[in-house]
Amino acid sequence: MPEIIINDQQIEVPEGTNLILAARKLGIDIPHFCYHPGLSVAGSCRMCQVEIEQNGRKRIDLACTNPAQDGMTVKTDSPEVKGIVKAVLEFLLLNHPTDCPICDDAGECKLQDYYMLHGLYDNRLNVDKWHKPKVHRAGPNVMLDAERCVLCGRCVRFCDEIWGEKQLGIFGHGSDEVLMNYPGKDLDNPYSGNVVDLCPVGALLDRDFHFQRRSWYLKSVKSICPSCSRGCNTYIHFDTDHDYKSAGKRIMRLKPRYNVDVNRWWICDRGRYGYSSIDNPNRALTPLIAGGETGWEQALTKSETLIRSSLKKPGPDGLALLMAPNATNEDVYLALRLFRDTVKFANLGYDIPSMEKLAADNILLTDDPYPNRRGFKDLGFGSISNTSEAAEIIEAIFAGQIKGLVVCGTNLEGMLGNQIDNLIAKLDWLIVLDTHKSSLMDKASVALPLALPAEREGTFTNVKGLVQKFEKAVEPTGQSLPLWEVLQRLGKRLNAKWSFEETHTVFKSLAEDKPEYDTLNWLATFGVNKGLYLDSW
Amino acid sequence: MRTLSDSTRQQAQALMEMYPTKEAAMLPVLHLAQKEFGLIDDEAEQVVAEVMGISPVSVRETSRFYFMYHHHPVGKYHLQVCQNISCTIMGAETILDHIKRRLGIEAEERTEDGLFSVERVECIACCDRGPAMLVNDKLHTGLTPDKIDGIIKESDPERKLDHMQSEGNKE
Repeated sequence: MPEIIINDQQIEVPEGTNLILAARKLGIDIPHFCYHPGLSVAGSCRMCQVEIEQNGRKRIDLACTNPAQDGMTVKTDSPEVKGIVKAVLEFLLLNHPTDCPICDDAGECKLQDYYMLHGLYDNRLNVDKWHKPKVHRAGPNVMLDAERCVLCGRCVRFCDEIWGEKQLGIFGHGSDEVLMNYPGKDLDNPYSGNVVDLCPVGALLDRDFHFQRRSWYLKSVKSICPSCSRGCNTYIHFDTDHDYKSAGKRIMRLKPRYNVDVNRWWICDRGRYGYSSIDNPNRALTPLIAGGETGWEQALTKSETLIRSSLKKPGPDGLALLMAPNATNEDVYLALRLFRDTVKFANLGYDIPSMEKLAADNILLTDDPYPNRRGFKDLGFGSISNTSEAAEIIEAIFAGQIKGLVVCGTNLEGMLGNQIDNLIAKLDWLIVLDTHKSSLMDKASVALPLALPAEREGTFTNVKGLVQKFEKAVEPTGQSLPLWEVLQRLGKRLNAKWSFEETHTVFKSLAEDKPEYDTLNWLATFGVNKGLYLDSW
Repeated sequence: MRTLSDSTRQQAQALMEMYPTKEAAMLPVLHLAQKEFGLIDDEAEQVVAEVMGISPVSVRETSRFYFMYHHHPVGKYHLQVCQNISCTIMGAETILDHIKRRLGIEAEERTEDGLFSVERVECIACCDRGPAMLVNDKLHTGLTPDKIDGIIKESDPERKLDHMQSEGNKE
């Protein structure tokens, strides 16, 4: 392993580590635009120049293209290097519109940061700046301001190397060089949003985030994307203090969080732009009894009465629970302890047959739109005596064998279409727990509103079996509650022998029953790999 | 959608086989396409991309970088006037002004009848005989306003002379 000296500090790094990475290990940030550890090295922005002394010779060279070699002495802060970096920055800013006050990227822009750190010169330009397309629609999710672009080519390389099709290019020559999609062809790949994260300046922007919030107002929690079974690590960016625009919108955007085992630096557009279901007028806000609004106490009392009334007749064989695999491990654990172990339902199903199949690819997307199928499987969701198949449960209802049904998040209407009324007519009672309003909730004996993952904490087990925790960003909408809490309250009424105060105590109990899940230290931050790579490049 | 002739396709294929990567044949293949189409516009880029089996974005990145690919139609007679230092010392600016007056167009424009277009170009390797220009592939050196008039008349004998204002009786 080569040993080098950077700014008088010695460090040993693995063979092939470039000088930007080596310096970052020492906490030294070498300014750069075009270098990103997830992409090939271009060496085009010229910002990362450093002084390298090797074999008695001194040279100024790029840090990104030079791997550390034994005996190198590198200086990133000599007067000569500082002068060169300043000059490169002046060229990059030459035709930059400096429209920072109206730029969405202000506050998280490398040009701004580097000007303060390495620039601080007075403008010497006394001719007009070149103008290029502004507010250009590059694709369904991404807009382009070509004037702000520093032509680093990260986005070009992302499309080419990660997605596999060159959808963006740098066209032209000299000062009229411009980043653009091919005329008439959109930047429309399923991972297009990543070019916004990669863009070091405000050239590529999320169309849905345009003019929504200043970046410095955003708060952030670590989360897990619930849009498919990959379980990509994300940040939820939210703001509840500046509600002067887009009233009621709390979640402003989702950003990928680096995890080498799951999603590296990327997330797909389906996950990234899927947050609109959270602050949605269609959210279920209050418990309902036979379609009429009520409070939790009345609704839970009613639920308790209904379940108790059926325990003798039709008895366990005539009772069923259907759960969609988007519930957390804590929810699954308590559902099992309540419905399987306490009131002893004989039919517990989650494997819904006619669900939406996603177009899986070999990048991130899986074909399973549910985030926790693996957790359901691992925790042994299913009944001990009768069936575990959702389809069989539905058949048994139509056959008149099942008279009481609890449904958690399962899209029965989507499955059954206009057969749904016939199904309800076969039941003595139906209890529905869901996050969004539906006619099923209106028709149910009792309907209970649930919180979404962004409104609570919990864990999902991804398709590879990795248990990952997500944090709560905002308060549950309306009167909605996390599922585990509903089950806790209902369990208390049904004489359950257990009681839990908080999500992590549920997880602790779960991990005692299921030792291989005991991989999380709940109070620490999980899912983030503390290592060489950080999120921000 | 236009398409390349079979013989041009064969030539392009042969060019691509000459290099370790097919992308290396991009410049000569673009020249072939320009020869056949007269220009490299969006559609021509896509044809080249299809022939070479690469992304149209890559073709455009190359074609838009080089000035010798025309992205707009040029005239039947394309006048490329050298603007480099030797020709400029020898009066290239006067020659260009004369051409612009005679044809009634600006540099990088085409006459309405589509016969003539004018372009300023970098050195065409005739520094010893400036001012120089190319008309399509033909070289003209030691240019004077009279020589220009002769070249225009030779190319288009029917061109009306009353359109042609000589430098002397201007204003």
